[in-house]
Amino acid sequence: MTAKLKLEVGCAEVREGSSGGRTTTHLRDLGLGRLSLGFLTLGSLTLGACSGELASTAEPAGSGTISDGTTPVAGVPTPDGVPAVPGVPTSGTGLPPATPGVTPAGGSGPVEGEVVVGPDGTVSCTATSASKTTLRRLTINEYANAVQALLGVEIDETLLAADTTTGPFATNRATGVSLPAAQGYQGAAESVAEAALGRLDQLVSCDGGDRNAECAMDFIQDFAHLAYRRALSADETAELDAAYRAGEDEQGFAYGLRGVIEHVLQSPFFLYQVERSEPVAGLTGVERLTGVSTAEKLASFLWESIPDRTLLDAAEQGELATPAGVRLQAERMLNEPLAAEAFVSFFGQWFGVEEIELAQKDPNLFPGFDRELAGAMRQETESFVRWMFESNNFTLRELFTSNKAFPGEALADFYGVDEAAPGDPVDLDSSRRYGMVTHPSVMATHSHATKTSIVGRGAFIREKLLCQPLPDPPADVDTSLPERDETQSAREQLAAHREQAACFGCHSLIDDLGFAFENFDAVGAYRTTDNGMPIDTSGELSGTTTAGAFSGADELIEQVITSQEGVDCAVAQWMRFAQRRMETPSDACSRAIVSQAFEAANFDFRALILATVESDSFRYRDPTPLTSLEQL
Amino acid sequence: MSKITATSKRAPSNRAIMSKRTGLLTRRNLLGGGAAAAALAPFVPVLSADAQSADAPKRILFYVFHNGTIMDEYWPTGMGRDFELKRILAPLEPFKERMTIVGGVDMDPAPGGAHTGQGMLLTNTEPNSGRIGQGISVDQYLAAEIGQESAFPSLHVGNHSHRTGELWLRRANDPFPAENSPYRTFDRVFADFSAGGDTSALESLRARRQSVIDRVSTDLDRFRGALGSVDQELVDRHLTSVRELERALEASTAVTCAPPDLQGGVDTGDTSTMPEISVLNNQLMQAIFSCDMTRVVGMPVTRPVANVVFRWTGSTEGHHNMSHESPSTDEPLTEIGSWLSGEIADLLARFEATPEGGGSMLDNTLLVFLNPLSNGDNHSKRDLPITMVGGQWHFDTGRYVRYQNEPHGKFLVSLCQAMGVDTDTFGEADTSRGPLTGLAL
Repeated sequence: MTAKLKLEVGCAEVREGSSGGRTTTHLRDLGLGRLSLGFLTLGSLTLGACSGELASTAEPAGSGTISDGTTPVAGVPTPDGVPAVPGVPTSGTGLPPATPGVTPAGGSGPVEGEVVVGPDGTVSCTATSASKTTLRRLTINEYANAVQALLGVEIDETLLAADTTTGPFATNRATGVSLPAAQGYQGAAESVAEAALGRLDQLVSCDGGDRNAECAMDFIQDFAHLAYRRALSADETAELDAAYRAGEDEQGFAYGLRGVIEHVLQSPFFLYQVERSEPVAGLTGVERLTGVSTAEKLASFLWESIPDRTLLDAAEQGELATPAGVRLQAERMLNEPLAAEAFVSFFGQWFGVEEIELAQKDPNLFPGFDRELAGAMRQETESFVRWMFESNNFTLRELFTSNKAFPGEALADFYGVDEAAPGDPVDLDSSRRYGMVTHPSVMATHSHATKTSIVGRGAFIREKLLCQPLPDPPADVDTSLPERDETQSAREQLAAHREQAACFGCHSLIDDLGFAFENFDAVGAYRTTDNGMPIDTSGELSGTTTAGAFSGADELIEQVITSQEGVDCAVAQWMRFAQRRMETPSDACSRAIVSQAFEAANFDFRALILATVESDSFRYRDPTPLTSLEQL
Repeated sequence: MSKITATSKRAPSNRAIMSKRTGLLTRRNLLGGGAAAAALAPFVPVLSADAQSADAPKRILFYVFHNGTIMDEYWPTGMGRDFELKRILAPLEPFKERMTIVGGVDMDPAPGGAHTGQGMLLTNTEPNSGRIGQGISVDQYLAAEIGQESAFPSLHVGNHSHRTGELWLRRANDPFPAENSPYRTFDRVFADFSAGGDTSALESLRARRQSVIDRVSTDLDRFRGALGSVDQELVDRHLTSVRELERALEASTAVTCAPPDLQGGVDTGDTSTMPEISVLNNQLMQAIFSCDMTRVVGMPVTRPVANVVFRWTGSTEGHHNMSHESPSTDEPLTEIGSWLSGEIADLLARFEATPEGGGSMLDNTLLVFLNPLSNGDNHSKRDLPITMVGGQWHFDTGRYVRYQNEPHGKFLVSLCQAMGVDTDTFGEADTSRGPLTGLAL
């Protein structure tokens, strides 16, 4: 691991650099010190016209200007007075939460914490990472899982309007419900209610003869309590009771329930998540999320669902007010099968695998590629994620270097291996498989119909794996390449990018990274020649702490995952998914702590997940009212 | 006690894959059984009183494609009333006297970046960094102005378009998604009055829906009360949509026409079914206008940067990819453009074949065929390809008109005025002091 924040007692090595026109100071090797992190916003800078050297947009989470070397470092607890990094002792342990919170500058700015590095190398914060948030709705996956949990019904997801995304992830944050979306909720609720009536025996506790209003209300109270993540009010109970009775009068017990289920599934109390918080003694400017809001976030992150009875009970009994309480529930939740499915979804969205089903390939060039094969490719990647999670190989290194394939039956011919049971790993030659990036699902998605997309793959590495966003091509620049003749390699054709200044700025950052994957054709199959010509996969990575030449995909991936930018990006993507929002400057301090826990655990994702749910950023919020959506 | 435990045990499955393959007829959802689908009659126009009158409602339909076109094969030869269609528009030849082809109109100032045209095309505002327009789009503006007398203020029916919507906006950053499945469109538009002979099931459904809408509205009011002002604004949008649901429900009781009989079984998740979906959408649109379900329509074909392979026109590579490989791809791109004009011609022919007042439905319809880019190679937003068909109550048709660098905002003003909405600007006022001169009668 190079260039990761080293937090040992020793001399500080400070490197001056330029970032987006602003001078920042990157901390490389730090002893006692204190870092002001207020300006750090990962991935928020754009590269403009990509002129000059790449500005690192993935600011190291634990770096920043040294603001004040004289501040004492020991004894700065998190608001709950517990070690900032789980499992790593700090000298602040046990101190009362007497350290004042940070009052936002000007009263309404973001709360900007400072990272404090203790003499034993642990990291803590002087302030509580807490951001302003806004309303969001359940995503399609969350809705589907919730309906499954509540009623045991599988929905046709195409009934619901598409999710809106934040970064690569479906979040449905800060969007209204358009008429088509409201029609979607109506249609989904009606369809779910109809299916639920078909399995009433599994849902209500009374048999045919005893099916009366009392039994119905038992069901309704439990159902709505879980659906709304709170008990019904007296008014609501009376309304649902009346609604049930009206339906029962008309067409009996089941029909009474039908209208109630349709209503609850369209109620904002089911569809929306609001982050609510309460003041904590000794803290100003930030508040701790309520138990229910914390539970909702845990369920979204770890299950893509809503809280179950156990989690809701823990929330209602105040057990989620401490990191330890949150951790206890998170560990339980990680043992449920839904956790693996949530992470299948996470990696699928991060790597764009879900697009594979839209991919079209030229049937003359790739006669075997159809939707069935595309589906098998997607399932392979899903199997890989489940296998990583369940076999405790759930690490950054495994994700990016594993040579495991999951051919099942459908991909055996594709790989030229024997058929395997679904979900069973098969080792490929390590020259042909270097982690999830080289899965056919990812390589085929980042390709055209007749050929690979060198630019698309390079941009994928930059934007998704290094969190370095690239701008659109400038307007009015002719982006067509000269026609490739039979004697030209793809690399020679792309050389045109180097001949125009308007192209070269960005493409010098993109094209080399795409060349690295030229051994994988447009459907992700391994090849050693392209159009009869040998393939040159070498290039140079710039703009990272591991900048330098590489000979092919394996070396490039190694550079990505050992770079500061690659590690920070992985942490950022996890935290975006966890919180269903982009990071804010206030998150930097928590991010630094999560990063350190991740590194301390040899980049094990489970450690990252637990550190995330324990972090202030996950559990606190800035209660300052928003005045416009643009403030986010 | 109930038996809900809510530790979900949804089995790991390829659910998303499956569901995309099952986006078929779902009328059963609405009518509590399989009876409805069988009961659907072939479409026989049973026109509403309004549609039969001499002053039938005027309608506007935005047909939008992406990634630019091949200009050499798009613009006609000749000028004014003496022009000849070239290959891309040739399938519209039967409607030549109803056409107005408008050249020399630019996005002005052109939005920065390559794939930004769709955010500006219908809003005449500079899109934000997420490529979303910063004001209401002209279809939604017209929906508010002229769409209030029909069941739906507007309907957006896509063909593998962007389901989150990039063209259509209620206001800045508030997209209005299109529905890509004709079957779903059918359900949403016609289900409220398509119970076949089973009127009691229909009445029961309507009553239940009304009651659920009432209670959801009460919940939205309650929920709203405990929120900050920004979140309240989001809930207000939801409330508006629920009121529109209610209005559609109420309007449906007054409709007396029969729904179209759609061929079932088309896989709406597979881009290779675009031709089949196109036919279904065209059928639907004729019926939707016949029943006066809406007067403002968006028909987006694919989405910006979409890489659909139009195999049925002879293409082997994706559309967006080819749009950057001119001139070697000019031939397949021309074929695609021509195919699309043929689909539009099919739609127009259905309108023309539908009697309305003393003439045809087409006499009361304005179809606007647009693309946010002219030349895909350089993402040009100058000399936008604009073709109108119909709108003869307002436009002097049967012409190829060419301007010199007029801002496209003026064209949007022309459209508003054609629909009887009196405005002099649209979006950015400075670039839309319109209308375009010389277009109207």
